[in-house]
Amino acid sequence: MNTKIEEIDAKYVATLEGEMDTAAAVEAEKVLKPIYNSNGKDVIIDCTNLEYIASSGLRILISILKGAKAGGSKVVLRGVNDDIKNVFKLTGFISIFEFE
Amino acid sequence: MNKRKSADIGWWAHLKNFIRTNTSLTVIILAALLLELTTAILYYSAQNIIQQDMERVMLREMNALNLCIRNKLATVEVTLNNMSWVVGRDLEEDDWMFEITEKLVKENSVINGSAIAFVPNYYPKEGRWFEPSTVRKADGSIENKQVGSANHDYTKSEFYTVPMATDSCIWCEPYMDVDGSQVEVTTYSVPVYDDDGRKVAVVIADISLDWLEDVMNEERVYKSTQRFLTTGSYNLLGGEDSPMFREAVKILKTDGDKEGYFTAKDKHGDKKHVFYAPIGGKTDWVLINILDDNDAFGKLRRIRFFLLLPVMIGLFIVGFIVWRSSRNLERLREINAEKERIGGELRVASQIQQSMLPGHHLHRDDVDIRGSLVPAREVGGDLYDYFIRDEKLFFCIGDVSGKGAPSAMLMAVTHGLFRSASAHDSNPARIMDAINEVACQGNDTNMFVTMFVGVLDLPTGRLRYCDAGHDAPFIIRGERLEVRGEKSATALEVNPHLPIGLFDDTKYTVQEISIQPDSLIFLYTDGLTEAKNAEHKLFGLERIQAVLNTCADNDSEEVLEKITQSVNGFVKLAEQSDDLTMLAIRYTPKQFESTLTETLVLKNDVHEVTRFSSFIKSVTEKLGIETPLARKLRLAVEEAVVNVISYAYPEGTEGDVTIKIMSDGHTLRFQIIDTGVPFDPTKKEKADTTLSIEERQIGGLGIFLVRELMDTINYERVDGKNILTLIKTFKK
Repeated sequence: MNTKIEEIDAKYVATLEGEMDTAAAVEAEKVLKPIYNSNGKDVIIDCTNLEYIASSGLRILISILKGAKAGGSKVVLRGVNDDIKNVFKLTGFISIFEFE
Repeated sequence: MNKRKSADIGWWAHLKNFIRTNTSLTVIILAALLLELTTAILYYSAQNIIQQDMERVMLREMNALNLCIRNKLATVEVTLNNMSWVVGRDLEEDDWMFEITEKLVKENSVINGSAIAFVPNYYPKEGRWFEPSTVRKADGSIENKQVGSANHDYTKSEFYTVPMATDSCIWCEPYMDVDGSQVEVTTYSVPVYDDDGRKVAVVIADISLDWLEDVMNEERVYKSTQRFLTTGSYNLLGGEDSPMFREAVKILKTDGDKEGYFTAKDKHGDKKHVFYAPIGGKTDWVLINILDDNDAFGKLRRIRFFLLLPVMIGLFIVGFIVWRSSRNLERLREINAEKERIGGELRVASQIQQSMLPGHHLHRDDVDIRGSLVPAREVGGDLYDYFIRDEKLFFCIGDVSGKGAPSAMLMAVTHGLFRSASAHDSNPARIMDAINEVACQGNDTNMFVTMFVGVLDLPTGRLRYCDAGHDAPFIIRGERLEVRGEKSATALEVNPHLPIGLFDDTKYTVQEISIQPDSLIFLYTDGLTEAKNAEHKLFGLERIQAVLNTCADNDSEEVLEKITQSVNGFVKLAEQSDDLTMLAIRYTPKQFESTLTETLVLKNDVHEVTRFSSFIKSVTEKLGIETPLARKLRLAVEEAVVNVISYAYPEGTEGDVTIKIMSDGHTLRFQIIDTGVPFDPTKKEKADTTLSIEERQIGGLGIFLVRELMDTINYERVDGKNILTLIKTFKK
């Protein structure tokens, strides 16, 4: 899978592409770790091309969310597909993330 | 109108209520009233009789006295009447008069003195006043003298004026005879007529009233009787003057009647009966008898008192007895009400108890369970339970020592303990340990529970069990006909353990057998084996076994029906002595015929997950499973695999994780097998997805997703291997 972070309009935009299984999550975490503390900047996570996510991937998203909340900023998930949204529903995370 | 009516009813209702609530008091009051009424009637009728009796007696006594006095007076009267006739005949001889009076006095001891008082100047030679008289002196000698004189002008005296004026004989008022006999005397005086019928004199006779005293002192029926003889104007002739006499006279004077009876009170307030009657004849004398009320009615009063005393004592004793018995009655009523209440509560408890049990029936493709509990009393000390968790059938049966409410409570506690202990553990011995540990705490009554706990792994038929002093269940092995020969029920071999609740250091051990498809497990409590008929014979194991031997092809419901029929036919009408509890489990697993089996072996490294991802994608594609479901399956199995990779092997050690995917075209079976330390991921508590992000535990999410996405999850450790089985039906 591909993972990258950009800073656009004083917001972090993290783009996740492909399938984030447990093994991929280990790699993705290395990339995403810098925005675990977003320094008050909002974070947009672009999931438009994310096909699959395992619970280890969810953990990364939770870590980003916890960091952002601590800094007073928000996290928005963009372009989440139905299957992944279903996972968010199952786990109850649907209510703690913002989707657009 | 209506209001009035309702008020009446209210009053009546009040009375009825009072009688109902104070039965004893009412009875005592009624008895007392009745007794009082009887006594009063008795008393007043007796009083009436005595009163009549008294009046009759007094009347007779007074008549006798009257007669006595009249006789005496009649003597004087007759004599004097004769004398007046003699005087009238012999008027010429004035000297002769002394002879007449003297003769009279001499011959009549009653007469103290006699005189003839002539009208003034009758005998001119005798002067204006002539009254020849004879007197008996105190010494008995007799003296004649003419007593008429200017100083003694008899014409003004009563004895002269009245007969002269009225032509009648009279008895005069008494006076003290100071001249003659020195005694109280009274005078009888009779007019004398000459041949021409003119009144010329009166003859008189004085009689002493001494003899009256004797008459007055005559024997009397009532000792207290005081007798008085008075003149018409109530001057005392006989009897001793007393205040009571004067009181009676006062009343008599206003009364005017000459004969009668009345009651009066003396100065002490004591009641007196006063009888009075005229003597009659020529007198206007009155005889008065006064007697004490007490004299006449004292006996009656004493009788009443002595009658009343035992009656009061009796009434008191009866009252006491009634009060005591009514109190006992009240207590009995309270006890009954209490019993009723406890009975009601026990019925509710029984309902609660029944509702705590799982439904009587659970039917699945692979297992068929039916339970039955018939308590001997309202609530029983038996329990059974079963439930399926992660494709494991947890079941238990137990019997609390004793019966009734206390054992039912312990039963409820035990049931709760079984549920909580088996929620996270599938080892019957550990479940038993957990129940025992809590049950021993504070078990001062030393009640105990015999119990059997079994855990049947439904996919594999592996039965693990632990027996704590309970009757060993029967098992009919569902072997093929040619292998089993005659199907026969055999008791499961059980390690002996102490019952639950006695010692907290009891160690329970687990036993294990493999259950063949179509096997029947039959659990029961001693209420079945010890069911007694009227001859006190026990139903016994052999009978159970005999019935079970006919049950090889019956489902669990039919098995229980057969047993129940058999035991009812045996016991007949004898009373059920103990709770009767049964549980029948028919194990009917479907044969899984795999049409596709794929296997992948991974190292215990997360990076190996990439290989798994490719593997599962190829399998789901091969089976033509749609992407959304394929992604769900992939997620669930990946989570399970990662869980095993992360926990099955201690850090730094290497091991294999085998993933086996099997399908029969409808159902997918995933088996994740490792040889690491025993690790049961199903024991993990479910993640709470309702908590906020700060409260959420990141861990536990994986196994949670497995449970959510798969139909069933099942863990078994077999032959040193952890086997986690996930099942999902993808095509009907």
